[in-house]
Amino acid sequence: MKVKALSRSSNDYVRERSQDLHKVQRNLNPTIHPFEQGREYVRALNTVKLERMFAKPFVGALNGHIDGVYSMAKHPTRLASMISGSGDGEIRVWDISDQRTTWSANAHNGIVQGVCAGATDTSRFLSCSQDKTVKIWDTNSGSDPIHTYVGKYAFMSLSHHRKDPLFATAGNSVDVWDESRSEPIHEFEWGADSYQSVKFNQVETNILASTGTDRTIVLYDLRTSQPISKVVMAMRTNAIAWNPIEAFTFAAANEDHNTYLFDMRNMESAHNVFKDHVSAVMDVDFAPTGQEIVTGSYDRTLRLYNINQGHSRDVYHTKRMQRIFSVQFSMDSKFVLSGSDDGNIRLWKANASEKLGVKDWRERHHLAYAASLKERFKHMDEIRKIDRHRPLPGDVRRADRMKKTILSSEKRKDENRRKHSKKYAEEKRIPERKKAIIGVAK
Amino acid sequence: MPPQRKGKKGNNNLPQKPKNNKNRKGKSVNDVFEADDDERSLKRKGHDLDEVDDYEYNAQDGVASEDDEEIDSDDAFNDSDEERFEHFKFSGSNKDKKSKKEEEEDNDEFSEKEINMDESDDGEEQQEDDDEEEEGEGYMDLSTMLEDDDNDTLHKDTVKALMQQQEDDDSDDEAIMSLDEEEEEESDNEDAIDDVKFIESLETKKRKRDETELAKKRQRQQERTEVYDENEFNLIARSSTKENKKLDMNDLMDTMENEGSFTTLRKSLLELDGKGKNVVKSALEAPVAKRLQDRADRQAAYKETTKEVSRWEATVNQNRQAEHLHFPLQNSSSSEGAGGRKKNITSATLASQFSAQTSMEQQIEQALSAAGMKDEELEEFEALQLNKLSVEEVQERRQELQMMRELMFRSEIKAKRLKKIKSKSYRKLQRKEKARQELQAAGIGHEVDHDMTADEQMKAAMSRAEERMTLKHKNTSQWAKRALARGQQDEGTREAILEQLRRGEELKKKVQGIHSDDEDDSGSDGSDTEDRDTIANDIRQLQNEMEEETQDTQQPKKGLLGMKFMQEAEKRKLAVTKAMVDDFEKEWLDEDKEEENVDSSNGKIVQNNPGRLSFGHVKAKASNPPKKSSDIQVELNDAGQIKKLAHSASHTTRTSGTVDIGKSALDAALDTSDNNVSPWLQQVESRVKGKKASKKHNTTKGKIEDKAELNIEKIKKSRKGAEEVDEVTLDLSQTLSKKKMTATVVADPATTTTTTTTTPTTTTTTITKETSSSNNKKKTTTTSVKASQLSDDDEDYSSDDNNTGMIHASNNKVAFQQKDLVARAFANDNVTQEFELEKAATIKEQGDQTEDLTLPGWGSWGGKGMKKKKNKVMKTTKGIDPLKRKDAKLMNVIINEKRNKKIEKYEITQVPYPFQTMEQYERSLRAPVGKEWNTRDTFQKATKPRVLTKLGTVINPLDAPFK
Repeated sequence: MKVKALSRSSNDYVRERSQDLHKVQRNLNPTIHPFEQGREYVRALNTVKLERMFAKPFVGALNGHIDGVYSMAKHPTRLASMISGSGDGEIRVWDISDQRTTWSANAHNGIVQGVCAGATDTSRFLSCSQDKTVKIWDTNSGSDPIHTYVGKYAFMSLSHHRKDPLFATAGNSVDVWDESRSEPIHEFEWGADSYQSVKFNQVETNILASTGTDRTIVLYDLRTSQPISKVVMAMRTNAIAWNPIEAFTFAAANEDHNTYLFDMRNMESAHNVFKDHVSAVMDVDFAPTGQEIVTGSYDRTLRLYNINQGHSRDVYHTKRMQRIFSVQFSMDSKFVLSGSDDGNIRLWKANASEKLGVKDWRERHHLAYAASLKERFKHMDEIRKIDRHRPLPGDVRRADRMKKTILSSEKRKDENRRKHSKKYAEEKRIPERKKAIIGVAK
Repeated sequence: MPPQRKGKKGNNNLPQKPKNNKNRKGKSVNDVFEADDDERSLKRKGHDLDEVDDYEYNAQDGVASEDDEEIDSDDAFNDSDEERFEHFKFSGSNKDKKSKKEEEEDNDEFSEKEINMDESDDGEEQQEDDDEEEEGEGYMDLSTMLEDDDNDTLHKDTVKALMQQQEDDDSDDEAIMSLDEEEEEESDNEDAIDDVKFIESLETKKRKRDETELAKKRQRQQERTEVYDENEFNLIARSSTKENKKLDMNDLMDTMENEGSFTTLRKSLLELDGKGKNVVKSALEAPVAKRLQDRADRQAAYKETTKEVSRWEATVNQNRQAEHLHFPLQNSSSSEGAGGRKKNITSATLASQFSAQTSMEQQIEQALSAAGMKDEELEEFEALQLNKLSVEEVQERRQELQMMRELMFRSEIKAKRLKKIKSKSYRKLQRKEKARQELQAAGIGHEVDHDMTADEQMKAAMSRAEERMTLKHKNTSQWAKRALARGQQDEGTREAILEQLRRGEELKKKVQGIHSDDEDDSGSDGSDTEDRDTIANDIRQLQNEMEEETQDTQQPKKGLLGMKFMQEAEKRKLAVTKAMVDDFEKEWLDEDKEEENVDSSNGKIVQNNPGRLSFGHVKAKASNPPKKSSDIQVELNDAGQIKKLAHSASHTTRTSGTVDIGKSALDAALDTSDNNVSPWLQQVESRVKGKKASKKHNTTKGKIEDKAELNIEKIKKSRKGAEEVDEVTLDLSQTLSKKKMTATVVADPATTTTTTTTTPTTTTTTITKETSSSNNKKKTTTTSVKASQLSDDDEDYSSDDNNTGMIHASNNKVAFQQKDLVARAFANDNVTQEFELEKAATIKEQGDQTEDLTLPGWGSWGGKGMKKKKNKVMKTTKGIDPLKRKDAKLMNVIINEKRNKKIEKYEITQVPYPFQTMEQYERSLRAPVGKEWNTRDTFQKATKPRVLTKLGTVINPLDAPFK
């Protein structure tokens, strides 16, 4: 007897769906995959082109401040929270993901020169102003400060200790305050009329650094009653950022258009010099990964640098963005914030062409492959050219060209001098890393 | 300022004040007072002398003791410091600097004339000291004392004793002293004008001081009556007392002396005073200027901070060099172990934690447990077994174990002891012993072990070579000479010498190779020599033939050949041939001779011997290439040139054609030469003769010439057979062709010869080609016949023994001229011409190109009488102007100026940064990373980004793991 079984493959009658998993059949036989180098080159080229095409770094602008944003601070634990202080004394706390203000207060009578999050309580933050006060705020307890500390002079900058209830202010001297006391517990002074900024080291938490109007960067240790070291530079340093994964390195945004990376153990020469800005660098911030920095400049652009390279990886600008006075990397190192003179805070992607949101496995691997191909062929002329191409505002471009001309003519002059004068020829060439450093005081 | 100091100050402030007020009254008084005071301080510091000594001392010079002052701890505070701290007020001192200066001047006034006691420095020092002393009037600074007199403890003791006394009634003493001093001051003040008097007074004062010291107790008793009744309610006010009584700590303490509850307080006060158990020892130094102090502090702090921060260095470096960084960093590391530190994984921990998880492990475990081999079971088993043993057995066992342990311990100790021996001779002996043992183990002393590794062989060979190089085994040492001179009476010496000789002999012996096959070698060797002999024979025969022919030519001939110019031409030709043959022969014989020489120098000929190779490698090499080159010389007629190359390659000093053949050698050769004649040659000869008879003269002559060349070929062939072993030859033709192909450099004969490279190829083929090409005018039939005959010539050669043609060698010496040789070598090699052609072609190719674009047949009619079309469509693509070429003026160079623009895109102009060379960079690009060419794992590994962050995760700064 013959039995006919009813057997049907679902493949025959079920329609193909997007969730279906298809096994990718591959044959690794090299003969059927010829010209590997050429093909990969083309892929790299396409990657670079696509990258440029999809490079849309601007995510959004947080508007609300009436005056320019002169100080900004990211929240150390909350990813989407950010504090900004403006020129009219207003402080706003932002929810970045919603791009809206969650808390605001007319905090000071002068420019809010510095804001920072309090380490002990997540809802607390501090602000300092030119009206000679430092105030501690709590976002939960309304728009009145919890504490007010009155100083003798206008405060220029503020930084909080990572763990302890201590904070440091910069003014005519660098003061360290205990939150529970109305008077500073340390007053550091070493030569400068006033101090521009102060920043606590986040890794080695006892150390802090300040920059003064006498073109110096001074290092302090809380355990001593005195500053510990000082480097004098050719021009003033506007801001400092400590590397969050390296205890002894910090970046200094300088007035001479460059940012310098220092090792605090040896400040005779900079570790790296980040060039490309065409005006004074106003603020600098390290990515939480410690691999990148972002700088905001007076030339209305912000630039992103890899800490191992001397030139910027990317440059961001918009038509309406004015002088940038504060920049911040977000705590997940995916975004960059810039506060500028025009009263807007702008949110940028740290990688201009990166797709936001969750990527599936294949996409991730494809992107990783593309990145590695780009890395591999980055020295090829064609690819390099496309990769480096950045449209810039005309004034920046002109300034850049002029700067280059000036520098090259200076260099040429120096070379000519060396060629024709014995005296000059014997002089040692000063490396770029040491040019801006006048000396280290002890 | 440390707190102790403050305490002291507090103690002394009260009683000090009145005195200082007093000091301000009169300067000279002050001065004297200070001098006095100074002496007192000296005493305290152990500089005081015995009674008698002191007298003597003072008699000599009262001031000398003051010079001793320099050994003070306060010495550090010198002139420069004085200047720096000009406006600084010492906490103890109540006078200001101005008065001090004045004092100094006074002092100088006093001392200038008679005594050079007071340099300004000293004066200052004194004053400083005085200040100190004043300050610490009431107590003794034990530490300074300790500092000063490490050498004279005796003094210290006496001072101590004194101190003990002082301690009891310090206040009284103080009162007395001040009184005394005041008196003295007054007197001095009066005498101030008279210097001599002053000095006297100084001296007397000194004496007086001593006296007062001695008479202290007496005086004290007297004074005590005048002192106040002391209690806490009756303190002496400074202003009211006329005797300037200093209020001392002891005064205050007296009242509480009896009460037990104040013991701790008393103790601490004593300590402050520099007595008791925990004495504050260091002298209080003058504070450094604030600026300097600050700097020092900063530097110290900076150093400390740097050190602390540097603890991160390892972490930082690790992160910097990491292939991949997963952020947040520390969350991942915390899973491994606290703060990124990995736990110490040892085999023991692994074993203890091990549990069978995979099926195989489980199976193994089951099997083990089934067999009762698990660790626990084994232990149990052992315990059981031990239980069964009797007491004696256990004891025995234990003793055995003990014994073993003891032995091990001893050997260990011995080894340690031996290790400590530093004697060089002992070490030497040890080394020798070890080497000998090794040798024995390897068996190299007598016969080569076949199982030796290559390394060992090499070592052995090296050691042997080294040994051979030394003179130890030769009887050249002083000892050996002496022993030989003495006649070796001693048996030991004789034996030693014999041993030495034996060793020398042994070393001189050749080493028999391990894998050498002697049969083959000897066979080839034999054939080689035989070949040579046959060649010599050939040459001889040729010469004979030529002689015959010359005789023939002398006979009258008919026709064209009979004409004079023809005959002369023939003669010339013959002469040339003869010369050629002679030359070749000479060359040949030279070589033979040379080889003989080489052989005789070596004593025994062992060729292709591995043992020999390792030592005499260079020699063997050196001997071989010239042979080859000489071969080529004849072949190509450019002997000199190639020979030169051979020179450069092998660095020998051999030159061609300069070796003279000794007559005796020739004679010896003659004896054996005529005996053996190659039958093949005879055959050839006869055949040639037969042909000669049938054919005309010119052809015969040509044939002879041809034959000469053929013979040469033969020789070469035979040579090839013999010398296939070392294949380093000069491949001229190949290099030439290479040059032609690349065609960038002209194949100028001179240049090519200098740049020719030695390549491991057989020259024979190329050379035959050339010879054949040079002889292409000859009849192909004859050559082919000869070639066929040549094919089986080896056997014929083998029958021949000796070089027969040597007779002619000595009398014909035609030296080759270099130029001639080169010209001959490249006789038919039109390299230059070819190159020129090629260059012209490239110039044309890269020049302007015109192309006719007219369509063929379009608008034109066929047939006869058609006009040529006028309006041709021509397209010219601009090329490189021949006159503007880079190689336009370089005759011998072609520079390719054509560029492939498509490739340009993929070319980079310089090596990118991290790479050192272009090769490195290219290597980095070579292996593809894509999925098509890699497995999934490799692909993922290769494309993994360096920095990995998680979306929406806060990356915190690092926390110190070591905090």
